[in-house]
Amino acid sequence: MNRPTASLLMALAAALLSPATASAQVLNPAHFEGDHHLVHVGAGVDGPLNLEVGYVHSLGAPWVVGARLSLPFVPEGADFELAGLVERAFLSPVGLGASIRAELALRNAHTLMVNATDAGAHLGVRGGYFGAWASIAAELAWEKSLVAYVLPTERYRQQTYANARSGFYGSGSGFFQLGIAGGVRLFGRSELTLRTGVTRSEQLGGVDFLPFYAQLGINWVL
Amino acid sequence: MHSHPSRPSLLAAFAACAFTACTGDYADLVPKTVDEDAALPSLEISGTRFHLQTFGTQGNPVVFVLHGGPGVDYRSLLSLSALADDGFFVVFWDQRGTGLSRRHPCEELNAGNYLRDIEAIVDHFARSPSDRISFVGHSWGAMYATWYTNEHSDRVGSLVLAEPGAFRRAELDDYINRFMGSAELTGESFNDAAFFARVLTPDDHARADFNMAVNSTIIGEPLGLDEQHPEPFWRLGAAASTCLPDFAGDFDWTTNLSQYTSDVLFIHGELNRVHTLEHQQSMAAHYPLAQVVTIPGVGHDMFSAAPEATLALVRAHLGVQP
Repeated sequence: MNRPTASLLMALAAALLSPATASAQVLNPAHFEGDHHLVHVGAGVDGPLNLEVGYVHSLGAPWVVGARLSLPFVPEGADFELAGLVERAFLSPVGLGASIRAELALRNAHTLMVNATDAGAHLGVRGGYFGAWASIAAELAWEKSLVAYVLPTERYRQQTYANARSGFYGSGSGFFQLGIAGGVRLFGRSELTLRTGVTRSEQLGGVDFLPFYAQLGINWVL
Repeated sequence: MHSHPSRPSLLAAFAACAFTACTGDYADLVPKTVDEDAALPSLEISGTRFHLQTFGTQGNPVVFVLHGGPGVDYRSLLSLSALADDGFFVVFWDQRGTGLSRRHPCEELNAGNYLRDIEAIVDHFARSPSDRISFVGHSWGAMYATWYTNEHSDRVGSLVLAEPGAFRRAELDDYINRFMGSAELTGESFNDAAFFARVLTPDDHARADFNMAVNSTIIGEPLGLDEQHPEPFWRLGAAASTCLPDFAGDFDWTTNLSQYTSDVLFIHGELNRVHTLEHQQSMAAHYPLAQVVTIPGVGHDMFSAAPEATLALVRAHLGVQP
């Protein structure tokens, strides 16, 4: 077993043993007690250019649960990722601490050549300062497609391979994301959030397309 | 006809598949190579097995057709098999690691092997060691033909080059930068492919080849490709596409082109925004004698989008009487 894989398993074990976390919208655990209902809107680049809406419900500190929907910036109706999340915080009285999130995601990716529907897992941890008016944290996230239903399109069959098999296919490697995430309270009960960093393969190598992510968002407490 | 599972059954199957070994092999998404399908026409030479076809009568003047890429295959160039009717012996092959030819690990997809491959195939089919053979090269294939001409100018008769990208490393770097710059980051094709890239990672040959096929639509618009009649291909060789440029080093395939004094025909597609007319004229300037002819209304896929017009130009250059 190589070192990245061992580290990954340790992170996974930690995430599963102590209720979870991962990517997407930036939450401030300092508000988990009072923010009973929170909605999030964000945009940026994470794989494709994307738009994101989310909802988070506080179960009472240190737990929240929620859901998010991500859409590519150029939607044509068939591309989406729908994820359910659970997040738990570990905060000291002065606001230092960590927050761990786990997501289960269902995604559909439609291209001219293929339609793929997959189920995946996202895990992540943020560690840093989480104050009442601002937060700043380092984040490490991992995502992996577990199983996919792959349906080559008629164009693929005509242009390339007529006998391509539609069906379930196993997962490939996952991705790591390493970066920073933070937020600033603006006015009322809204918060401006940002997360940005680099995306690496599970072997810590390069990735196809953009090797970085950056998302700007706004949280509103209802 | 391909049946689609219902949504509830799909969800149930997802749940079951997450915990069982019900998943397929990604090799089922790309065609079999000559190592997997013995019925495919092939030739064992130069330490590998190529998917290779010939048309016409052996003993006639030989025309070698070189496909693009690196990593594409000759399927879209098969209209050139009609040259057999004009009295030529026409040879097509999928280059090392591409199309239906044998797959190779990255380190075997290097410049040395590629040069040895073309030398071995030319020697195999040429009528004699001094026979002057002809090339029709498309894109990377036009670069490959120029490379061979630079090494063996005395062996080359007629030369038809359709939109080569570069003949020297500096030109290649510039070409790649322009090519990458032409991609529309806010375009649907790019974002579709970027989204799909999170689903399937290129962990082995079959996955990488399938990924490359899915991503191939990104380049359609800047190259002016005909989206209504897309260029057919069998298998894009992702390893060849990645590894050969990496191993090419600081090459310069123009050092001996002054020795080649015959007229070279460059074919250019009007709609191509990457291989522009000016770019092709700069490529043609490396040869002592060359002309650039533009085919109107087509892009980089001129051989499949305008087969008659392209074939007519090739025939005229090869001296076929109308």
